[in-house]
Amino acid sequence: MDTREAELIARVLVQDDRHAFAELVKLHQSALRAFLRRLVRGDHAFADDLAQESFIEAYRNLSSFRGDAPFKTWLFGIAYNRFRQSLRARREQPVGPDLALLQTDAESPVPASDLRHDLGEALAELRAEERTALQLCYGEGLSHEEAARVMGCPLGTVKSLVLRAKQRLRGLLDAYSSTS
Amino acid sequence: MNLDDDAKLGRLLRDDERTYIDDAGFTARVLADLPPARRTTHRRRRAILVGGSAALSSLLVAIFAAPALDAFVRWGGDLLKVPVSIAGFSFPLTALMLTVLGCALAAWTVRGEFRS
Repeated sequence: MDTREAELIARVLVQDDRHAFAELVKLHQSALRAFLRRLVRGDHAFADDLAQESFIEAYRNLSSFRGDAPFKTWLFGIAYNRFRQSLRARREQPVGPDLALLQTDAESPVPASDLRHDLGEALAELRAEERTALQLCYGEGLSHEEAARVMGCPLGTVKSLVLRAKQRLRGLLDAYSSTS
Repeated sequence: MNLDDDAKLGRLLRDDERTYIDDAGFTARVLADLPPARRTTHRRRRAILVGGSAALSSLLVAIFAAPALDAFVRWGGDLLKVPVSIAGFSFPLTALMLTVLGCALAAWTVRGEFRS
């Protein structure tokens, strides 16, 4: 954890400094919202609601943050729990490809590559846990240990989730390329 | 795509520059939804201190004022020509009443703090 972040956390804890908490939100909002948008596969409004709830929960429980892992890992853990709770409440339904990926491609002046499009579709086919593990380890650049903390599961589980996700992605992408 | 190439997968998933999401009022919405400021904690502590000391002082008053109260109740009983059975209980009764009064005062103060 960097010193700037540690200082902000201390100011929130000791003085209940809301400006400091706002700084923390600004530091992490983009990464957290992007992460959740990928998990919920494109429902931006819902992902933002989850992100907002996660920040509020983080504020309420900041005193339980021990600092033995990066703040981002802790925050993503809260967000992932929120996501899982929402899945239980809504029952996961296949909603098609990762709209976030497709949307940014559509807005981009550069046409979407087939690979990116196929990857978006293939990711949507994965189970939520597999997609999360892959996103954390590759998209967010977390170590397997950190991803395990976020997901609240053993290290070995994360490793096997990542491995299985990559195998499934490979199979799906091969299938897409052979049909096109 | 060769997914054995981890770096390539990472690049595709990160989508670095394009996934930056502009704040666009998000931080303001989070701050607006935060629970009320914690300064009420200090007020609550103060209220509990006031209530606690009120209860304690009530007890002390009850102890030291018990004989006088006892005499007063007996005098009232004589005046009304009523057998005074309450006199023996005047000390615990007064202590209880004053303690309850102190606690009620403290509870009322704390409730007021929560409302504000």
